[in-house]
Amino acid sequence: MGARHREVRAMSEVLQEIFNGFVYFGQGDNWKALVMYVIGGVLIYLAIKKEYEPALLLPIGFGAILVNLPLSIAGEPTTVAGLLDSDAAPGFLKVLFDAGIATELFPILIFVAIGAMIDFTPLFKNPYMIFFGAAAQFGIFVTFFATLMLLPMVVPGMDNSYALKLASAVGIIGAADGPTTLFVANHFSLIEYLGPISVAAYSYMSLVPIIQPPVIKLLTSKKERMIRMDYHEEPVSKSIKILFPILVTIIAGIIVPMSVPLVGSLMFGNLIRESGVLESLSQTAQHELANLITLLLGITIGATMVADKFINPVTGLILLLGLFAFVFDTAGGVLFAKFLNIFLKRKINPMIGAAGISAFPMSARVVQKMAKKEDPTNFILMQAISANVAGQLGSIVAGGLVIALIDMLVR
Amino acid sequence: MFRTIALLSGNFSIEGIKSMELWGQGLFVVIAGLVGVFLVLTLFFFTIVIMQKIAEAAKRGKKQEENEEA
Repeated sequence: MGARHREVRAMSEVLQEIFNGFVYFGQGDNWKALVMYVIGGVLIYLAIKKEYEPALLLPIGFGAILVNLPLSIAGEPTTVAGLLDSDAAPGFLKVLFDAGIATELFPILIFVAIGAMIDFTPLFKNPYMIFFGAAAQFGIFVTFFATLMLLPMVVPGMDNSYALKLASAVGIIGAADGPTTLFVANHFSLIEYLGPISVAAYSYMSLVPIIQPPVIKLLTSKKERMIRMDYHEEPVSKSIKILFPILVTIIAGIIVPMSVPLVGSLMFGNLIRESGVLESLSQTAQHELANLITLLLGITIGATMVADKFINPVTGLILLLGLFAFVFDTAGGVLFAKFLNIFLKRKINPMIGAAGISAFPMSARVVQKMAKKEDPTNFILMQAISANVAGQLGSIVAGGLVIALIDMLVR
Repeated sequence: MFRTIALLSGNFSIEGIKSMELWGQGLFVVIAGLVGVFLVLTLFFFTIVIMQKIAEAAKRGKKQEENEEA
């Protein structure tokens, strides 16, 4: 009988161990983990089925599932979700987070890769397009202000300094530039909001073809959308291409020192590309480095989506205002072009302004597609690409400025 | 840069901005941020234009030299 009793007890212990995971979901707020599995699943679905930024949304979605599993790792007294819990033994996601996000290393390396991918030639041929890269950052600042006004209503009693930091990170979603968004959020140690901020940034970037056309149509007439623009195919000297990244880094470094990590790494990548003597490094940065960091970045961001931190009203606000930022970026660019047209003899197609966001080359393609729809013989892709490239510069400068200004106010 | 501008201006100090209400501070960031982005990109614009002018002048000089030699 004793032996039988021991067997039953052992069996019961084994079953308890096996079903511990199920019991977990019934305790306290742990049901929220199930919601996170659904959210992770939706992100994976969007990545695979709709091909919305699959390189990022898929790892983020999987990371969101992984981090909310009630498991211990190889007998360690922690869960993968121990990421945000400093007392817990580090899981591999925490190791990745500490190494790549907390140190701001992953966004910086991504910028080296992006720099190696960018060809500034179209901008050199249309230098005035750089101003659209500034105008289309309008959404960042409008969203920043809107967030600042809404936060005290959503989170009563929030400290002013924290509200300024969070509002700036939400506003920067409008940079349409994932690494810059991450960099700003991380700079202000908004770890618990990294998940929703990154998801908003990357999701809306992939939704540019859906978000921008209605805004552009609303603000322009058919006649304006049919405006043709000249494009001169003149060669750009190699010395200009080499000097540009160096001079831009120096100028940004002197005027907005906070933007140096972003501008410096972007321009370093670009210099590798344009130097002409580091082709192998340039290719590595464009492919292997970009792919590897994207992979690690995605899953690590996903790992910040811990259920009890993610499921709250602020997440809803972030997702809503992220969309708001993209809409106002587009509007800012288009309205700026319309404003310039008041003074210009040779009119600019105002749709070009919408391409001043950083989502490269998606935004330029959207503009060209719309122009072609109105007039199949109208070709404004190169001008749109110029504005789009300028948007890359504008977004990182805006990121640096926001950090500098907020740091000044909260210090 | 903004700190310098603020300090140079008599009745416009960082402490003054810090003591503003939240919306006032927000408005300051919006205006300074937008002006700053335009300012920096304007400098980039002039950098490109100046580089192009120098490259063109160098090209013209080279051509002239070649013509003279011929």
